[in-house]
Amino acid sequence: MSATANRDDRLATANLGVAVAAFGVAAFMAFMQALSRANLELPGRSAGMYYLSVTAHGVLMAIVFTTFFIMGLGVAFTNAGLERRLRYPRTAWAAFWIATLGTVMATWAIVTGKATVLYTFYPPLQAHPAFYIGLTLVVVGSWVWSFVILSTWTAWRNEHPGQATPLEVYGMLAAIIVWLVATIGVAAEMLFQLIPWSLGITETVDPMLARTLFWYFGHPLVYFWLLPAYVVWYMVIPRLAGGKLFSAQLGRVVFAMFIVLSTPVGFHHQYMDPAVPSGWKMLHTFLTFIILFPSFVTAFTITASLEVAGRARGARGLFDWIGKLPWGDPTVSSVLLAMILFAVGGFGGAVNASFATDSVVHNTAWIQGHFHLTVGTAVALTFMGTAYWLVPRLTGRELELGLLAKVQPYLWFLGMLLFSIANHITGLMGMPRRVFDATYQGSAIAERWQSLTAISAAGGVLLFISSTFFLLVMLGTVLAGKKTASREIQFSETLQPEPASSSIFDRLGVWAAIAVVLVLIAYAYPIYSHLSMPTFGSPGYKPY
Amino acid sequence: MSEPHTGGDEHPRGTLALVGLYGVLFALGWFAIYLFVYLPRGPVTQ
Repeated sequence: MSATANRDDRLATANLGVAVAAFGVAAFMAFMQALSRANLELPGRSAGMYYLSVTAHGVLMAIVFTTFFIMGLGVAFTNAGLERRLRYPRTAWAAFWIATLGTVMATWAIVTGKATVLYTFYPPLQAHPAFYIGLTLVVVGSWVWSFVILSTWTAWRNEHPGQATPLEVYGMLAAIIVWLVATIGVAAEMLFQLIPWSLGITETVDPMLARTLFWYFGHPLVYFWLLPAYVVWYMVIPRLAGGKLFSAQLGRVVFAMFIVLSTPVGFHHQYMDPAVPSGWKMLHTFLTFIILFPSFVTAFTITASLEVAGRARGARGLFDWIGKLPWGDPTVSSVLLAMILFAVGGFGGAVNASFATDSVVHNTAWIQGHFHLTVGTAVALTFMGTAYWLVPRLTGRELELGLLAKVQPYLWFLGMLLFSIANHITGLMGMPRRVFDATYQGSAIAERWQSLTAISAAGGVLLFISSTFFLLVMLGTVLAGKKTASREIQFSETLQPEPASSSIFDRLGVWAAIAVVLVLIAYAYPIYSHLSMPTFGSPGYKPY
Repeated sequence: MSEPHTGGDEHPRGTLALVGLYGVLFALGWFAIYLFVYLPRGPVTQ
């Protein structure tokens, strides 16, 4: 039987294709912002264009690129991990088209200047209904995709009673459960608040409730991005590095912890919001710090797996195994460099998550510096590296422009280092985020930021070059790659044989139920309390 | 040909050293922000 007989490669490729296209548009928008931030007088530069491009970059990169990439990855890993086709391939195609239609609607609203509401779409900034309905369709498409993956897994379990779910599928299922729990918040915000308000059915909106519902969704969204990246770290990288996974069991503990703890943490984004009582903020703070733990365990497990690989290549000293790793393989180097910057991002995240220190960095450039290390590097660079490995296997074409692929992760690393470190420092100096004119019309305080803002812009230029390399490699591979018969998708072996039979970790319903209980504890009373108070709705504003 | 040495029978001492170093830097970084940035500025409610 051929390697692709049990696979839905066209569907996976289609999802990855939309992801890469969205990435390309978003990268161009980021390039414009970088130059604008450096105060270069570009043709057509204006505050309106700046905020439009910030919106497009955020939505297309953080929602569209990630969601479609994860849907493509989920199809490919479910096929390969369970060695079977999807249970409902037509429904999965419907999911793809629903999400694509939603993307087209939201993108139209943004690029025509009808939805300059930034990635967080906080009301009372108001967008065209097509923006809200479009993003809702993206989420609905992802729900249908989730149903198909879950039902495929259920079918596999019936065919393989008592067997443990392969870790690469287990991690994807964890991401799906996190997503299904988290999107309840944004669905409620869209259906009960933003869509009726944008259609004129309701005149005002409660911004505080909207912010709470957004961050109910907004932080676990980070784990929806991160868990598929972790699946690649656990199940692809050790093999490519020439080693084995140090411990699959630790991976299962990590993914189960994320299912349980991802959602009841959103108030750490709202420390400065007066309507959330301090006690509830403190509960969310504790839960946020607990959820650092599975990422620390992941850092240990993956680094130990890499050490195993380096020692298998002959390393003997304390650190010489690092030099023995295949840094020239673009998939491996992407992940290694992503992990290094993620370590810095983890430290910044602890500052954000602490009530006191968050007050220093809240709404400053520190924040964009932080999340470009986490989603912008740990996730995005991992996904780019994964594409170098996966797209040839899905399309049956060899990777083209290999030199560009080798250079691209290093350019990204360097660009992000310049961009992000500069933004962390200017944030500590008090520079606000999302500001068109960083000079504040010649303010003396703002003058001190300017050299660092220029460094940040230089980082943005390197990131744009890196993005262009990635796009060229993808296009070259799909359009001109030589045909290859080598299409097997193989995952890492584990150092110690895994138990073949299922365990408590495979009872995903139990973990999901615990997650729901924690969510109710963390959110039910604060939302009830908010709804019980007199609230003052706001009409919509469209400053740009 | 013999099986390559995988290091599987040893503790990952390089990893433990790196993780320990990171833990120290992580804590020092957080305290640096708290002591040298937050405390001099004071809480926002003052």
